[in-house]
Amino acid sequence: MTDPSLLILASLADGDKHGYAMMEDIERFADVRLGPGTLYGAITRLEERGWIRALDALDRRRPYRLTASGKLHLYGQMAAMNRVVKTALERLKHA
Amino acid sequence: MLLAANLYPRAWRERYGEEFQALLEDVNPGWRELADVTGGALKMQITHGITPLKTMVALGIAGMIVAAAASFAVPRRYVSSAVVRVATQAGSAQIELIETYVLSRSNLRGLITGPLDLYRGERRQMPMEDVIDKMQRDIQVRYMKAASPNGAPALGISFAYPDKEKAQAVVRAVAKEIVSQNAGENRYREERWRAMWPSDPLPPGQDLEVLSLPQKSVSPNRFWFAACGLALGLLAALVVRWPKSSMRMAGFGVVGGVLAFGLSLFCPMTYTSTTVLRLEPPSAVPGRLLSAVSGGPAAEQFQRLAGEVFSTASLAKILQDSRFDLYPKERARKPLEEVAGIMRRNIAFRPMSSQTEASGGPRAFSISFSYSNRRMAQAVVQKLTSRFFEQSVIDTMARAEGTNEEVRKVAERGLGENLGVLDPTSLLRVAPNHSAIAAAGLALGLLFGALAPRLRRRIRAPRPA
Repeated sequence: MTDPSLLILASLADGDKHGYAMMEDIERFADVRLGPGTLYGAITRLEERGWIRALDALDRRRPYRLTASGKLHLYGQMAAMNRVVKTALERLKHA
Repeated sequence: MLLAANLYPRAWRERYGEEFQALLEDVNPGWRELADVTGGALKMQITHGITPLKTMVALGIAGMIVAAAASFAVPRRYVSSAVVRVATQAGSAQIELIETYVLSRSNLRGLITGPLDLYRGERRQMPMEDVIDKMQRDIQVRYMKAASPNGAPALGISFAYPDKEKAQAVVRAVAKEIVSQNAGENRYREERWRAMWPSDPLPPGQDLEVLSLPQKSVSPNRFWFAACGLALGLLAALVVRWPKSSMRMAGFGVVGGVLAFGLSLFCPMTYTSTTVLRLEPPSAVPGRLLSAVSGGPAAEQFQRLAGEVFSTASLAKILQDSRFDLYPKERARKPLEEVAGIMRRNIAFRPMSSQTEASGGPRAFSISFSYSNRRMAQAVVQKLTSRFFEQSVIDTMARAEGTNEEVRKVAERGLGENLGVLDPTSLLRVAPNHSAIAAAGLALGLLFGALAPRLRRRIRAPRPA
């Protein structure tokens, strides 16, 4: 899974984070290092869609929070992915 | 890195600039991050920064610059030229025949496959007939009226080719062949003259002189490259600004092209066979007899012969010939005269355009016949050609009847105007043109893709009660 938008939503699922914290978190749990341009491109899109919202900046670093619709979208994506993973694992047992 | 970050649109920088700077300070950026930020800035400019019009202008100009720069990488071509001057006033008809000979497909085929081994790469990729078409575009033969100091005509021959030596060698070979043909023709004419008219003085033949000019290199057409770059840039702008619409149109376009190509494979094939005939002027006839042995302007003579050869009676004979078995379905349902009319519509009789410039009008005509069977198309053209020759002899003998003995002698020995075959019946063109049909399908698909959302809205719109 390398879609930057989904990785950001997954990172924000366990709490508010600013850009650098997201990068570090994503690298830890997904082993994917997002570049600054890629990260902020995705943040811009997610904020426009209303899936995340910006909080007040702390020392120039602005944290972001997952919104309710963002959660819903993430659930939907994860459920779909889960079905694929389950099916693949089930089939691998009989392969 | 700061410069790259400044490439983001102003509005974006006002909103995210400060936190983005803070992130860049935290990550300790290297080359990878620089490329990532630059790419992100360009993407943001296209999607959020500039208007669609500005995107199109920017990408259009970028496309032009890249294409113009790429044109410098295209290999240069060399043009070698020669002028064949006619040293005497006589012989404009002979010059026309030489011009026709140089451009004839059989001559070009010989040059391509000869020791010069031309268009090696193209011959691996396309049929020989297409390679000959390409050479016909690369070789130029210009008829120049009154080009010599004595007012006699001349031929300018030039050939463009990527290999400098080969470009020069082709022009040298063509010029040499023209001079040698002319010398042979002069010798043959002299022999016939001495045998026929021993008491008449032999009029001077035409002397050809070859003046070679240095070859020059030709750069690729940068304007054409820039125009293509502009078009590609505009296309890229459309894809970037409206990716969904572009993908939809591309999808419909590809489907339309593939469908059209597939359907074209089911269309019945048509083969066109062609031959080129020319009317050679009398070369061993004294001046006092020229008007008596001439059948008039070549174009008129050809039209007269064509009137006979393509008449309903003449075509009906070919249709009834069991060796051909032409149009069996049509002959079973329709009267023979009507089938002859169908056959006539599939026959093309055209003057060779290269001949129209010179005085006296065209001296060469092409005869083509299109049919669903490759061999029959060729056989019918051969039959029509032999009918032209038969009719020409009948005409010549009829003209000589009732004239003096000298004119009859010329007619009997075939010294007057004679038909000759310039290109034998070997050229086959195949229809339908699959590429053209696929291109039309692609265009229709693109159009449908562009109109699809509007059609869908119209279909889904609730109808007033």
